[in-house]
Amino acid sequence: MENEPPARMNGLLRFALFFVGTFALCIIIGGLALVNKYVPKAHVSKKLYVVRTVALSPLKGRTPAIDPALLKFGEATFGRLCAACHQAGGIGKAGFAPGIRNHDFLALASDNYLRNTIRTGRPGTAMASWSSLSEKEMAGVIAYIRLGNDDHVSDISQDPDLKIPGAAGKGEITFATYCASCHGPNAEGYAAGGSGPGIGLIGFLSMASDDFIMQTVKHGRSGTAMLPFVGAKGLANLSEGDVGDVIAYLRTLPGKPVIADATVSQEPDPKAGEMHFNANCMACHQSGGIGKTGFAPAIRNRDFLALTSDDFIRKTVSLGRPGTAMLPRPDLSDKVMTDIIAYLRSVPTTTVAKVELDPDRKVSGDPKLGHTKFNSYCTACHGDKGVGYLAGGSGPAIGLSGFLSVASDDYIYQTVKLGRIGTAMRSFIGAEGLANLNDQDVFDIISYLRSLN
Amino acid sequence: MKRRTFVKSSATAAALSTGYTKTGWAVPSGDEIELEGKEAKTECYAACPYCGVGCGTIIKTKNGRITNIIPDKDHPTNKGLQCIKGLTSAEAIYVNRLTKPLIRKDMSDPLRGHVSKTKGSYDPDLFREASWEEAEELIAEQVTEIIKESGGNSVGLYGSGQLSLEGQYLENIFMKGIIGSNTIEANARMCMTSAVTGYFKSLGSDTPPTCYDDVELADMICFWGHNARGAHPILYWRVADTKAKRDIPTLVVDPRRTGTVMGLEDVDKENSFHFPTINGDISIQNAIAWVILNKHPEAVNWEFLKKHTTGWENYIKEVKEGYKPEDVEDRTKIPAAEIYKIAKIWAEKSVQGQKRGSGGVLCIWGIGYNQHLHGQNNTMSLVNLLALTGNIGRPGCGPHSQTGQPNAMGERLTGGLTGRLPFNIGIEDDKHRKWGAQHWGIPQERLDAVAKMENVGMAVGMMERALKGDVKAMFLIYATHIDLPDAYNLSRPALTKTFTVVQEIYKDAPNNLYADVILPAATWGEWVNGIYIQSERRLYINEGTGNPVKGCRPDMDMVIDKGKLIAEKLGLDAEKIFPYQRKENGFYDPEEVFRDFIKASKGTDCDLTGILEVEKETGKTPYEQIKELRGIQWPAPTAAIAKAGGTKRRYMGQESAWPDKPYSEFRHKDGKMHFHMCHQDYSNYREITDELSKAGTDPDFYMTDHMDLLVKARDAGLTPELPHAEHLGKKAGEAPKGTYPFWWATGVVYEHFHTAKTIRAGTTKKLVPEMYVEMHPDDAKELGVKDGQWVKITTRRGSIEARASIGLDSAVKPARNTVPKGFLFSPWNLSVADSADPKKNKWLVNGTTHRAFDPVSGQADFKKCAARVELL
Repeated sequence: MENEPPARMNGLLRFALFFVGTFALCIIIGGLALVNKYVPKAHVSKKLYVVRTVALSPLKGRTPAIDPALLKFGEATFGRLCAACHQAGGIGKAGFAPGIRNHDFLALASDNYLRNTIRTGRPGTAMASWSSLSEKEMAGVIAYIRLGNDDHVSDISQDPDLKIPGAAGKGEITFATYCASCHGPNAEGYAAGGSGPGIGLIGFLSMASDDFIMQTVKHGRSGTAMLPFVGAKGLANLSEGDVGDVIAYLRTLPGKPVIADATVSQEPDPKAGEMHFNANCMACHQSGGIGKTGFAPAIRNRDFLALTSDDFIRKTVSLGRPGTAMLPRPDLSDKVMTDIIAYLRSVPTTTVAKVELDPDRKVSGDPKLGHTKFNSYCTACHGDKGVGYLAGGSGPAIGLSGFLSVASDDYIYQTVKLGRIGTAMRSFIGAEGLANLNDQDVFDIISYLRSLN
Repeated sequence: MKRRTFVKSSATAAALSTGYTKTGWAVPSGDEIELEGKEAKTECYAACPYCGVGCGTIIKTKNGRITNIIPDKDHPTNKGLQCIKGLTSAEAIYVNRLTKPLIRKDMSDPLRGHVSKTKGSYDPDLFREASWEEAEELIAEQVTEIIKESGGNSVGLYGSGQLSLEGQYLENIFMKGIIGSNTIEANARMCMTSAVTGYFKSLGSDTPPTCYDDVELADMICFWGHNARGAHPILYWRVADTKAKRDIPTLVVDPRRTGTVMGLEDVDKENSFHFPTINGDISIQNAIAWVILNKHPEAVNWEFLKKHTTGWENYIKEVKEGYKPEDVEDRTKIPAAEIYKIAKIWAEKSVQGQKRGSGGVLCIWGIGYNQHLHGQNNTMSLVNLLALTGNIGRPGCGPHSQTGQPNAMGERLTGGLTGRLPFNIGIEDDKHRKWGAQHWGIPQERLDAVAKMENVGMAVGMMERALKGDVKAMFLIYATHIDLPDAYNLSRPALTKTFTVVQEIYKDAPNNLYADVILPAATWGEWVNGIYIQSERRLYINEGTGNPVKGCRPDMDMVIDKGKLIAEKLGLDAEKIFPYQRKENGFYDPEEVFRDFIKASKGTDCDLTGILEVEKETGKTPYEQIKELRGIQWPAPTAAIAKAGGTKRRYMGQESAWPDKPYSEFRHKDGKMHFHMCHQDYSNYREITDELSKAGTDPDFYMTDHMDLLVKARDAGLTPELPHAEHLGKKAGEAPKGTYPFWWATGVVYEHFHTAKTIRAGTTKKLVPEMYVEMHPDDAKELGVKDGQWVKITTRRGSIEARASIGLDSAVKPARNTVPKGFLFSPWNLSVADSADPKKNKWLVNGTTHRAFDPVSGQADFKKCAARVELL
């Protein structure tokens, strides 16, 4: 927090510089020099901002003292933005998100590697592009990720420019035998139900050098399912030549589309939608879109879909929900969105909920009374002021602008009236409601929410 | 949810603005509360303090003070959902609290024949404040003298399913070990004991075999006498969600069209059935069995019957002889065609489950089903039908009794009832008595003597004995006397005579009216910790602030202190019986007690010693393990089972593999499930109920002197009273004097839990503020009663005042249910919401009820009394 005032003072300058920096990054992968050049040293002191160049040498004894305030800020940012997938402490979760506060990983991954991964994301996975991160947030997150992992770092060196030769054909067989069971048959990772990450996807391959992969296979990742595979002590006694073949094979993958374009029909295709859903949404919204209380809402849900227009879903995906883990995904094409929506709407329910929504309806209530009622009936799940999961609540953020800007009054009213079957959100209106509220109670609560916006 | 909601809400608003209440709220709030000032965690993990579902709850605190409640999204029971009672449970903690021990200036002294003249009032002027030392010494002196003069059995205790398991365990040692009394009862008696004794007789042990996850696996779900929507909302929502997902058929057997009935119909009307029977459950079950045996014999699991049960031949014979649906319509009150229809589905779903090895028919019942003078038979009859169709010992089917109290299951497991030792074993068991003496550190002769003592009639009997002068001292611990029937003629005069010690949290609690000594207790959320057991045998922790309101002590601490004092006075080795010392924080450590409890469970069918093995292995304490797993389901006899969260379901064949197993799969000596045919025969109905009506009206008539009458009524499956239906249709007050034309049932309402806390919590208090009576529109018309009008409901024993709530459009909240013609219903939750002071209290529901009880389970019949309606 102590760093906030200077940041605010230079807000405009910072924004401009930041914009240029981000833009540059999009063009030049690994544009460390540019970042360095544009990082406004005026408000992020050198002491705070430790840039590591290329992780060619072991890093022992390297660390200048990191500002504890920045670390604290980084930890909070990590908790807010990253922990939802990478888990508290960044320990990762098999089949879901890799452990990134892992000293074997960090020995190989340079700050630049981390920075670029965060900025560009991993297309085709749930790791979105976080280009919106401020420099301070970025520096804080990286400092936090590195924290405590430098003192006993593995003694691994790598050469990012090394090109390792190998036979892709042979590599495909080796991969199928030793790697596919975790990383998926086409190395697409979690999206294929694998327990390991998608190492055959373009995002990873464009960032990871041949030697990065080689050293990872050689040394493994302690504390994860990724064990060393090379040599007599390895899980599979592979030779470096075998690994070279696998690398060569992986390098051939990004050209191959996961879903064959030829078979893509122009009609909404729920089957294709399911694959896109699994690749882009499942990590948070869970398999089948059933959601997870306190984490991500159920979106393949009878009652949600009865209220929600296609447009609502499109807007939510393309704009995201600022302040939550739901990031904007404008990168998803119209066709992909159509298919995902078709998949969501293929929800298997025996009974159909039908609601006629009036998007233009405006309710009038007393926000003051609504505040009291919100505290009585809503905060236990949606948190104080409706900030949702981030406050430890089990319900989503209904008090933040992202939700309020797409949800009409009638949408909120009907949700409170109907509830969401299969979730913790029950009907609250009438004798069968969780709280036997009347319409005016809900109008007051809606007015209160609108006053938060 | 429907149009009516809107109509109703505007009607309510109108009612509110036009001189709506005649009675204000007695319960003061906003007291200045001072806390002990101890350091507290900011987040405490606990089981919800209300019903027996046991939702995972996180208590948030600030500066040692409880601020709010958040549902635990990682708890397997509620998964982040909680009902309005639980969500607002923090609102009832810092209001109206007692803070100092109080001693009544004019105490009752039964040894010298003195009856206090001030009982029936809790006016502060009638009491003097005392120190804890003085109050405890006084109690010890009085009780010791009574024990020496009249014997231990003249001391009674009424305990609670809201105490922690540790407290319950020690109360039982306190009564049976130190005082030497078999007169220990608890509010579990009015709640669940019909399921307890029914399970014992059928299955051989008080073990609910199912778990909540069976809901999602079942192919058909039946609620018997259970408005789950109101009483156990989370369970109901899980059922409704399952129905929406898999479209399974459901049956609700309940005289009223409740929220449960309507909610399930909302999901799918086609396969939602409702049998609005009054008292006809046993006949319905036997009639379904008749149809299955005659029309769908493929659903009968002969192999299971032959291999694992006894008594089935007789059951089949008698069902076939007497329960053709057409012949028993007078008892089922359900058209035969409906029985045929439901039996066909039942058969289909049973076969489906048998073939798949999972699923089938799951039957859930609640308190209403237990509160019959044939409550035990209700349980056995249902188990009979489930066993006949092979719906036992498989995931997704079986009998599931849903408890009312959050720790009624703890009361049952610790044996805090007449004639029971812990772990589902009776005190008459010589071997187990030896075990008891050993683990409790008391001379065995003492327990042998207790085993010979009688407390006929259990909870009701204890009060009748007090009336007769046989019980002279009474402890009321975290339990109210107003949950007992016939308050004006039974419990209140009884407690006036006895030397009564009350452990209470609220100043205006009805128990204080009859207390000679009041000890201020800490409540849930303020403890150090403690276990609650939920209906699916799940043990869960109750972390608390350990920072109660200043001056208050946890009940567990009180029993240790009291126990040590009295033990010393009786010449017993106090430190051996209660080897516990206060810790730095000033409290006893409940985990020490819990460890002793676990150790003592070794070799029983509720063996929990696996938890201690895990502790040895990993260093994680029992509480830590339970918290991490979000509960362990008993039994957990090995480390592996404890680590896996205990035993989800019983009677799955796994029991044989456990070490030191003293019993077979079913815990009867022969290892089998026992069929006991249960009958309903209305031929001598009026004659028997006329005789029963003397209870509460003839001061010389004690129910416990007429146990044979209760047995007769039980065996014929009768009700305590039979209304004078011939006088229905008359204007209010015009039915001849001494006639009671209406069925009169009492129960619960969704917004409230029991009678103390939710009426003091602002939110729930606002939602349902006053006593109401649900009435059929035709009855209202004939009586000349308008919706919202105040009326008087009178039985042979007493009366209450209530607002008439007519139909779903009623202006009187909650307007959630409808009743059949000739039937009235009121919730008991609002019993003292007007005021506990008898001068102002007009809503005391249990002033009207009948004290007839099940002769084995001891549970009173609150559901089928007879009443008349008068205008005010």
